[in-house]
Amino acid sequence: MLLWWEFMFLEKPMLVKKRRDLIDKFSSFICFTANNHQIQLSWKVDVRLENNMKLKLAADSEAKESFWAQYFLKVLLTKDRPSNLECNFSIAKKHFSAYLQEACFKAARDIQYEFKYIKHKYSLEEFFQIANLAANSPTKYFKSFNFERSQINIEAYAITAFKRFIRNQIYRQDLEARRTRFSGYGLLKDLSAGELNDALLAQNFYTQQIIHHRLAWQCFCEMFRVSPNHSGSRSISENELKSIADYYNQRCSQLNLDSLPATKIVIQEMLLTCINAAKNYRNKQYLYFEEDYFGAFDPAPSKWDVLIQQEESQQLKVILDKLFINMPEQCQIMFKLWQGLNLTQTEIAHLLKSKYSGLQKQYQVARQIKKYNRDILKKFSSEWNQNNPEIYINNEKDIERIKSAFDKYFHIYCQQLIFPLLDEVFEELEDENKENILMIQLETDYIKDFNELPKIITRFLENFKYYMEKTMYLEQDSLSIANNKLADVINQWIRIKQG
Amino acid sequence: MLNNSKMLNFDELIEINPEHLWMEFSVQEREAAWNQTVGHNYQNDSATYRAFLNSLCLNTFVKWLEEEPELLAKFQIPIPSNSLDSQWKFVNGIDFNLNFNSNHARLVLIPSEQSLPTEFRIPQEWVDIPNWAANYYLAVQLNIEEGWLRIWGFISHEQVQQKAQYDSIDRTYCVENRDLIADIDVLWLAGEICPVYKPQTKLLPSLSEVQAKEIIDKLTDANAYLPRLHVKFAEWGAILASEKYRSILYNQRTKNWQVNLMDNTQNAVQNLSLWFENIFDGGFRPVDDLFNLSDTVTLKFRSDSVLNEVYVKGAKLIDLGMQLESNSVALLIGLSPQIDNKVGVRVQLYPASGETYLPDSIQLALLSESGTTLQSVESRSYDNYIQLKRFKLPLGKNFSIQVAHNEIKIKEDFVLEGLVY
Repeated sequence: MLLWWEFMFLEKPMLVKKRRDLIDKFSSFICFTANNHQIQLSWKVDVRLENNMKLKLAADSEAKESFWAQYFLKVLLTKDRPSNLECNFSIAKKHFSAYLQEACFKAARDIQYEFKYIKHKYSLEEFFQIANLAANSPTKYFKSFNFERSQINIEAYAITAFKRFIRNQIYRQDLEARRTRFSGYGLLKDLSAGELNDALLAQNFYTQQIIHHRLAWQCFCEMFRVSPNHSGSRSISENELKSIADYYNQRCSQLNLDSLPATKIVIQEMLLTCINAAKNYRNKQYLYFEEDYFGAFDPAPSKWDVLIQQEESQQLKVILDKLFINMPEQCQIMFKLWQGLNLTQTEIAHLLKSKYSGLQKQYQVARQIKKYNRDILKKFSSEWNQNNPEIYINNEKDIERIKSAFDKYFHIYCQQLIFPLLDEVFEELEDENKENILMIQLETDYIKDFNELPKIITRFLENFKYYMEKTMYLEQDSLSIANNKLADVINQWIRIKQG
Repeated sequence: MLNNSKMLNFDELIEINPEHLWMEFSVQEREAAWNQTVGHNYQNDSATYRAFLNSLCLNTFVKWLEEEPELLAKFQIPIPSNSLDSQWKFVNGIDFNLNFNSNHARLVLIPSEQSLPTEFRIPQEWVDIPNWAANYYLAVQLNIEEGWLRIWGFISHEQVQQKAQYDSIDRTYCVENRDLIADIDVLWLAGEICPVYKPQTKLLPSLSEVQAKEIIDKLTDANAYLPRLHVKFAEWGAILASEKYRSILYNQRTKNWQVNLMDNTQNAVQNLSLWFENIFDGGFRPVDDLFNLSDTVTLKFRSDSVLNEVYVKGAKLIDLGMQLESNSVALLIGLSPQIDNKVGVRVQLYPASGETYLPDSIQLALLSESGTTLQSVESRSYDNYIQLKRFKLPLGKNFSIQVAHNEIKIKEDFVLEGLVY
């Protein structure tokens, strides 16, 4: 049987020690190398950056890491910079990118951990390289960074932004892979009218030409059928072209469009033009990854965000305390595991399947969580409406905003439900061990060998696990599958204790 | 260059978009939907395929709902019927009625096969026909080959009116991806927590039987490949809005057309008692909903001294000739209960479509149940409106109001069954 730290060790890829030295932090990069089929990670120093950093530190030895990170980002975000400062800009970009190496790695690691299925398709290195693309475009991904909000540091901001970016890229790459399977006519059928419009616009077509091509395309879409088993790979017949032409002419007269009746040759030419335009447009789209499918990152906080942040310790907590305790036991356990300990739904299914017959598979857990989440939010909203008639929840847009703000808060709330248990475990320790515990920060991502951990930490974690299992009526030692997540929670708790 | 190895399977897609609603269907279920559809003998491949997509989407959604007992209890599941199959002949989309607490709501699933969900196209029928309009529209993407579908977002009727671009080429309202709400749970919550209002739509003209016949003839012409785009939307919408004409169209009983008309000449009788409960039917609407009228007309009707004491007012837009769009008129009826258990009735006719004057020689008449003219009035040049003398109506008595212009006659039948107010 494996010990818990061995589990952690297997789950974690190895990384050389976290950089401690300020000069290193702004001048070295993570390097992936394969050695005997084993991926090795190392730090590689860029000598030019290193020298530059030494000079900067010599001039200002007091400045801390956060100062330099902000300093470089400010250089990068300065608009209308004079051309003689281009060199400054390019070196600042490299320093900033070096600084974000750990954030890239952490984002890649988190994504690999969160995506149980996708991780078999993408390696950690691929996730990391995608994150690096974002790190190399700071003007785009950090343009809404707020220097005034001191509680958010650049690294935390970057991790969230990179994770979103990775998710985006995986999604787009999936779409591209789907589209490349289509031949010309299959691709045409898969287009949306908006895409075709943009594709034709990009070829400098006039409005009238676009209308005629769109109409031909629309008639084609109505008439051209592919069977499910041969999608995207067949050509078009003469008869089909003839029917499309007839229908096209009919539509032109219905829409009072001025044009000579189109023959099937004309129709075929129009369709081929559409195919070419779509291909050019598609390649360009994927080349630049311009579109952010998952929405703009870090939009201005909604009124709900502000309210929920302000009310955090007062009204919200009172409402939630009352609500949560009245939810079924199954619900409370699931949310403590999911939101409190950050367990995945697959892990929850694994833990709870012997206890609840309806929770055997990930999708059953997902469904149940969604249902409870709706119940809680429903009760929460009606309490809210009663207490705050002046900010009444009126429509689905309000619900969308409040749900997003609520989900963020509820996550913190569930984590805090776990902390009293840690307090208990802590109180049981001898005084000297209490002090030792509070000195520690478990670097779960970077620890190479958990045998190196002090015994007291092992004991603390084992006790914590034991209590968690007991309060949630779980089988003994079943939480071992999530040792690293328990360690993360301990870290947070220690950070709070340290003040 | 990327390759197919980066294509995600079902579980991976859920990981990337956990907020969407994902459902799977088997090859057998797909085949069953296909066999079910081809058995219907649709008029062309395009209609057959549309019916197949909708049928598969409906079956899969209902299967999913069956595992969500709380949601299922709110839904009225459409029963498989000829009329549903016929509907898909013409229009893409599946409508559901549901009850959220005491709120009645309608939602429409709109299936599509396109793999990049950048835009959501809603057929105009679901937005602009008063008895078709829904509260929420759900965007569904089907992947026939891989056997899954997902609901990737939804939008309310109100938001469609605010955000959508109307596209006259395919008569759809087009909404950008960013204007949809991706988290479908928000929809279930909104239904529970927020008030659900009846969607606000413009009135469609009422058709005379002659007009309806002409339009249906055009629609059932073999050359009308896609009937919904074959005639003007106002005409098409008015056919679909009427249960009678819709059913004739669906059944394509063109040969028996005359017989049908004879069978159906008796329109549904409007029960005026329901107006006091704010329930309007047969194309009538509360006056305040009548957006087509110019403000001055609505204002005049509201401030009419005789009508001041009027308790409830209903109105209907009537079209007197489809060739001339300015020929719409608005029939307004005001009811005021009397102490003798009768109801005072005021009937007026106004120009609609922004016109100031009524057409010449338009006749407004009160008919008895047997069809005898009891009183009538005719417009002259430059009449802003015409009205019948106010009359009293006993309970249980049937009467009709007829509007006539040249050869066109439109008759509305009424009864007042009781008074609850």
